[in-house]
Amino acid sequence: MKSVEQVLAELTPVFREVLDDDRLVLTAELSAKDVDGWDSFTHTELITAIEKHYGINFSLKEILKFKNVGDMCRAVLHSAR
Amino acid sequence: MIDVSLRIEQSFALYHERTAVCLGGVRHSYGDLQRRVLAIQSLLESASAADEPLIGLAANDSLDTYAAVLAILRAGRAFVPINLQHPAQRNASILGQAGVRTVLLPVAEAPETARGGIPPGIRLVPTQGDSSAIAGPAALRAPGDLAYLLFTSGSTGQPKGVPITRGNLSAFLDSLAASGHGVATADRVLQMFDLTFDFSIASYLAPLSVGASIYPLAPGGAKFAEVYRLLEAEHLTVAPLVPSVLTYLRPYFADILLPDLRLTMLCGEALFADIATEWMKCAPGSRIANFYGPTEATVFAMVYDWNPAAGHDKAFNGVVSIGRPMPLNAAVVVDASSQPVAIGEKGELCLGGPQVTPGYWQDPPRNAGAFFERRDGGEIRRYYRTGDIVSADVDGDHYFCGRVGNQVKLQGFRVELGEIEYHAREVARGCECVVLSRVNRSGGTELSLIVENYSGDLKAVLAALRTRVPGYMMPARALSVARLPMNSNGKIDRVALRRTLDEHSDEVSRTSVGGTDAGIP
Repeated sequence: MKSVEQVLAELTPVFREVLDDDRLVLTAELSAKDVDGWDSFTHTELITAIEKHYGINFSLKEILKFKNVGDMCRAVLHSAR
Repeated sequence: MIDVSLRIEQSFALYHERTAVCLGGVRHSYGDLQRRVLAIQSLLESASAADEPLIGLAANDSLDTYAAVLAILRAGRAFVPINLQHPAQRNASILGQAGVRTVLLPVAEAPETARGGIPPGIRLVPTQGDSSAIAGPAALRAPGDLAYLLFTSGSTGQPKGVPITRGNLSAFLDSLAASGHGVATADRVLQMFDLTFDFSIASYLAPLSVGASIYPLAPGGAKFAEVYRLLEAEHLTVAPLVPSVLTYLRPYFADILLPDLRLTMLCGEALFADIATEWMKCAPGSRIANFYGPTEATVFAMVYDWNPAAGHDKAFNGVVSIGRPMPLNAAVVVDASSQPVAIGEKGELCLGGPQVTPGYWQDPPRNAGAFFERRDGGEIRRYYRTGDIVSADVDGDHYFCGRVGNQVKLQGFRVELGEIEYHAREVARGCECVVLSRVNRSGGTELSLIVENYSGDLKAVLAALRTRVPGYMMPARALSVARLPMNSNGKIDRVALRRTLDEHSDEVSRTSVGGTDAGIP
C-alpha cells in the first residue's frame, strides 16, 4: 500500500501544472492560503486533475473535507483501497 | 415604483430580529445590518464630498460589504463594485472611467500597500473606522439617478460601464415579484456571486428588499461543492446559480437530495435540458426557472419555467428555452435592418422597457449602435440590442441560438474574446492572437489562445496575461501556429482554426505549451 509521501510525489507534477508553478513543493500541510493562484477555480481544476490522474472519483463529502494537500492524499489512498 | 432604499428601510422596520445575512454560520439580524448601514453611511458622508455621485466598493465576504452597498444607496449615491483579486490594471481602469474619488473598504484599516489597482489619488475609507456621527434619513432620489455602475467586458481591451438607475432597479424588483419567481420573506437564499456580476443583485438585493435571509458562500474550497454544502446544511429555499455549477455537481447528483429547495434560479449561461431534468431529482420540490438577461437590462428580463412533467419542456439544440419577457419588459427579434423577423426565424433579440439602461457610460458612439427606438402600439419604446441570436415560437417563447460577434459566457460573465486578444497581443510581443471558446468534456466552456508564429515561451504569455484579466477570462491552454488561416473575406477563419485546435487537442494541453514545441504548422 502506498504512503502519503508517495502520493505527494506523484501529485507534485499535477499540482505544478494546474497551479502553473514549476517550483512548487508539495507537503501534506500545504493549503490554498499558501499558494498564489490557488483559488476556488484552480481548486476545482486540481480535483478534476487528481481524479483523472488516478482514474478515481471522489465523493462530494470527501471533497468538502479537503483543507490541505494531505486531505487530498488520504482521499486518494482511500479510493485506491 | 418604490425606491430600493425605501424597500430596505421597510425590511429594517418589519424584520428587525430576522436573520438578514448568515456568514460562515454566524447570523446577523436586520437590526445588526441596519446598525452597520447607518454607521457606514455616516462615515461615507463625512469622508466624501457631497458632489460624488459614484462610490467605489472593494467587495469582500463580510457583513460590511452588504451594509456598504445599502449605505451608499441610502446616501443617495451609486456603487461601483470592484474585486481586489482581479488584476490591478482592470480595477484602475474601472475606477478611472467612473471618476470614483472614494472607495469603501469593508475592513478595519486601509492597507498601507497593495491597493489592488486603486490609484493613489483615490481616498480609501475603511468601513470599520470610528464613526460617532449619526447618519441622516434615507436620501430621496429620482428614478433617473444612478443605483450602480457595473463594468462588462469590452472588445477594445477596456471594460465598458453599464449604469443602472434606481428606476431600472425598482422595475427589476417589481418585475421579479410579478413574474411569480420572486423571493419571499421566509426564504433563505444562496449568494454565490461576486458583486461585480449583476446576477448578485438577485441573490442579495432582491432578498434583502423583502426581508429574506441571504447566505453568502464562504471563500476557498471548490465552489460547486461549497454550494452543495450550504444548500444542504442551511436548508436553503432559493438557489440562484449559473448552470456551470450544475455541470460540476452532475457527477455527484446521486448523492444530492435537497428537499427544502423550492426555487432554482438559473441565469448567465445556456442551460442544458438534460441537466435541468436530472437536477429536479436532486431538488424534487424546486421549480426550475431559466432566466435570461444582459447587464444592460438589469439582471434578467425573460424567464422560462422548466417542468417537463407539466409539458414545459421547450428546448432548442438541447438548450432550455429562455421563455418570454417578464412583466414590464418587452422583446422583439429583428433582422439586420432592425425589422421584426417572422415567427420561427432567427434574428437578434432586443429588449425594451423600464429595466433598460440609459446607455453605456460616457460612450455615445457605442450607444448609437446599441439602442434604437420603435413604435409598440401607441408608444415609442427604446430597445437594447442584446447581441444574442434567438428565434421565437408561436407561443412567444424564445430560444437561444448563439451570439452576434465574438462574445461568450464564462461562469456567467459575458466576455468579449477581443478583450482577451487585445491583452494577449500586448504580452506576446505584438504577435497576432486569437482566442477560441469550446465546450470541454465536462460540458463547461473553456478558452484556448492561439498565437501566430510565436517563438517565445507560451507559458510566460499565459502568466503575463493572468496579471491583466480576471481568472474567468483566462485561456486554459495556448499554442502557436505558423500562420493564422484566413477566409475568403480576408478575416481570420475561426472555423478552420477551431478544426485545427480539435485535431491537435492532445498536443496543446497546458502541459505541452512550454515553448515552440507546442506549435503546429
